[in-house]
Amino acid sequence: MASLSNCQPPIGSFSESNDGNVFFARGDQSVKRWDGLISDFVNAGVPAPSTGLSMLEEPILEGGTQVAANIAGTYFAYLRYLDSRGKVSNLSPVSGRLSMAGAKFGNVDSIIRAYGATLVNSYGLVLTREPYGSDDPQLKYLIVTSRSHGLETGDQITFHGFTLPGGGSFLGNRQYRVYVININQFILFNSLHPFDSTNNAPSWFYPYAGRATWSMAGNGIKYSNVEIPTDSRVVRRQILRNKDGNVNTFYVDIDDTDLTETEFTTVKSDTELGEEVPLRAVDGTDLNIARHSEPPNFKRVVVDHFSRTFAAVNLNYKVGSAHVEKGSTDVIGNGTCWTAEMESRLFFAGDKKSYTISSVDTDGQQLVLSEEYEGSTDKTSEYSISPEEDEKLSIHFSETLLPESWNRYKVIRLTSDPSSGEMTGLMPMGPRLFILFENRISSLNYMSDPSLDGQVSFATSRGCVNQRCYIKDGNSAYLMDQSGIYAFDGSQTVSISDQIQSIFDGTDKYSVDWARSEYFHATHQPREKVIRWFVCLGGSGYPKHALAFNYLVNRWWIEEYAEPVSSSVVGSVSKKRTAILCGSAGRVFIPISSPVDGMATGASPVRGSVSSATPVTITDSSQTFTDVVVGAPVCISEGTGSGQQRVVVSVGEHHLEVNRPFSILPDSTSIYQVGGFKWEYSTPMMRLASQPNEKAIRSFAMRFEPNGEQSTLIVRKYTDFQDTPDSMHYPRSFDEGDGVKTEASSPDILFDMTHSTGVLQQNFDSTDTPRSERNRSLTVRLEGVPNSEAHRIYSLTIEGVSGR
Amino acid sequence: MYLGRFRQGDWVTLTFPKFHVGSGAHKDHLEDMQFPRPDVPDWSTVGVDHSVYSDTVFGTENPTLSVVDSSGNVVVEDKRMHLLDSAIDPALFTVSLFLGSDIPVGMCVARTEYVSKWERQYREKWYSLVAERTHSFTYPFKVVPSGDPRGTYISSYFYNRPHASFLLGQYDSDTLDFRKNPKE
Repeated sequence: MASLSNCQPPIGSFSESNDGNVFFARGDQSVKRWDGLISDFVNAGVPAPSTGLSMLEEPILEGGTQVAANIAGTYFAYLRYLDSRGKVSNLSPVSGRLSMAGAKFGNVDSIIRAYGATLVNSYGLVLTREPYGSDDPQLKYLIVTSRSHGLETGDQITFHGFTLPGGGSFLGNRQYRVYVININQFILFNSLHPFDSTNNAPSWFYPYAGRATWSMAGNGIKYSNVEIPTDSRVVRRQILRNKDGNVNTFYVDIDDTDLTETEFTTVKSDTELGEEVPLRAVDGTDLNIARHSEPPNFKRVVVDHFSRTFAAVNLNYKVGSAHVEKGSTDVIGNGTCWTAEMESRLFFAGDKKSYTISSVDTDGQQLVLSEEYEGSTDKTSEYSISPEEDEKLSIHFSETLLPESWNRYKVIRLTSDPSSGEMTGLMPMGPRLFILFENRISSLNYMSDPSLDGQVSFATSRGCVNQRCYIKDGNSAYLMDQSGIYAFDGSQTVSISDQIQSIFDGTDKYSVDWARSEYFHATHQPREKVIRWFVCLGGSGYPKHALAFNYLVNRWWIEEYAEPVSSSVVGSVSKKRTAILCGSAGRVFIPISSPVDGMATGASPVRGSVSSATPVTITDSSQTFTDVVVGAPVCISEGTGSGQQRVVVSVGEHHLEVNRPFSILPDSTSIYQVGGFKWEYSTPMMRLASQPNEKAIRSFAMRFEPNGEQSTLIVRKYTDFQDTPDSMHYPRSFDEGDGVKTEASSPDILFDMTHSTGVLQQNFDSTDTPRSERNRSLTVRLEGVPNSEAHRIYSLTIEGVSGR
Repeated sequence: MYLGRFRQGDWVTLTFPKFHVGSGAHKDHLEDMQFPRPDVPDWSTVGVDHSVYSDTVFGTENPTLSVVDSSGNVVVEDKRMHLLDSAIDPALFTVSLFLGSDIPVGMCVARTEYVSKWERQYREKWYSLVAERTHSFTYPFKVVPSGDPRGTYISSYFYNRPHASFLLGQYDSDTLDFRKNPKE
């Protein structure tokens, strides 16, 4: 069985950095990046080694011979990882100190051969007295005098400069191990050494001109405990070592791409070390030790501001429930999607005490706490997992021009304000970065380094619902908080949603469902000067309604969509800036690109009469449907069941299957429109202007642009505060009514949008009576479902009314 | 109970209904409050026993959800439910089921199940009776075509690069992807 999604993921945010990468953060997993070229999103940054190296001074042998090395001084080392782009990780913990003596040199002042007393050295070589009475020594040794030689017993030296009388190579110029007698003398351990062959007769002294020297190669360094990376991002390892006397700069000593070894050796002297890696800036900050941390994985909002990326808004994870046992460190999740990144975060449950999470079993959805749970056993406890307390009001930021390098020690921590509510987002605008809360906005100003010169100040007492509910337009922004929608120029706010304020207050029959506010979002249609805030009204899980605001004419309206519009962006389509709406089933829409909704590119809208219908199908025997209409909405535009909108989920040769059953079953009077969406307009309630007992001429007239394709519009008249429209008294065809059709007892007044005059009129004659309960006001509502052409209405004229 | 019509990529949320509580069931312990009320037998027929101190009925484990498709294949098996809201009494369990590619178009049946146990206390001593029961409920639903197992966009970004522009999207199926702009 393939894996299934267990719970809805936290909503993440995208941010594009100045290096062209786009980053995605959601708070429960590593920040992802994509560059437009690689095959998929990958984790951003480079993970750092977690364990330090071990260093040991050791002779380095090649083919059994010690490699000459001259490494003398006090050394430390780090390990770091690199990815395929050469991006580096933070450094590992520093190794222990290693002090090395390096190579030694000296002059041979004199050299004698001696038949020695019995000596036992620490290497097991026994120098014995020659057999008594024999002149032929079995073991001989040489005593070398070299003032202040500095050697230690066991050191291995090499002679240089011994020559044979008359010149020529002398085999004595080779390696020997020494036994130190005193600070000026040492013995050579080679019983049958080449010196013997130069003296046929035993002699106490060798012919020696005093030109020879000796040297001792230094040891190399053995690095061990070199961590093997497990993350696929890592393709190289580098071991960095300092030079003697300077711990501010390290150098690349070992550069490894094999990634399998745990031990390395080096004989590089200080002068041979390679690329330098400065560790400290002039202010003493340890740059490379901490500056290349991965982006924080517990923040769910990332934004780019000038040359840095900022991260804010903690994820407080509460999905599902937790089974906690008193006295146990194990916690079992039900309906949870705990991730490995939640390790080290805090677990809160019934006893209100926080516990650090030691480990997370993502397959079994189990946590191990750092200490035993002290609260009561509860198999279905509410819980939350959140970052450490001091991260609650923190804002992290990347290094300049290094969006994947985050110094964890450079953090902005805000002062708590009980009135501000939760932090909800970040909004860069001009030189300032605004920090959004539910009920407040703060401003962050900085020059070069926010942690050093950044200043956070109060900006306004309005807030923002989430990171996706603001739209910037030049140097001002439009934001939505729970009090409504307002314009913000960086210092002043102006409320702009007063016309629809009841929607926010909860006093309107259409009220915003704030419980779903994390899914709200906004988008901007620049050419039409329209901003839409997509919100949940009336119980939909994802936003299906938009509060639309035309800032050019300062007018509001509400749009309802056939399917959820759960996300939106502003992008470029055919070289034009436009809003792009994203919905269910992976569908993407461009608003105002066509008079019909949800049609696949190249598909034509279909309008026709219903031949028959079932609760989930409508049949039109005159049409042959194809799959191009699948996914498009279908709207009953006239007749029985008008106004109902469904989505086509499949087609037969002559029928459409819809997603949900019709509430009112269409019949042969019904007209359907594939791709159709219903628009409605209501005039204000207007007072009837007439004198009592006089016949008043009241009419409704509309000027419009005639359509070429068949299309109608429904007009309904409402009297006073009636919920139901007034019914017409007489039937009248389009021909009889000059493009206006009515049916007796039906409230629908159909306007033929193909009428060539572009003007249609319907009289609303009525007589006033002197009774006190006479009709006093009138409202006209229009409803249309466009076909392949938009409904363009230029004016509405209502005669016999006097406004409000 | 018929759940309705859904498409691949939709979420279906199931909750346990409020259960009938037998007359002998007690809520003596906090733990009892955390389990669904089982459909218990009529305790009045158990008989009068003056030595009985109390009866307690409780679920033994969290309820689980399984889904069977029209071919009889188990496409979701024993997915644990969790408490919807501890403030609701009696407790209400819920589970959200994502209709991914594993769940085919056609009729499916969701089945929730839990086990309840009846214990009777005789004065100071617990004595378990035979009344351990499995309770299950079925919820048919239909998966109609035209869905997308990626689900619904919940976050998106327009990403303009020199060689192409892309729509990046996060779906509620926990998927992150990109789509090249065809009109650029």
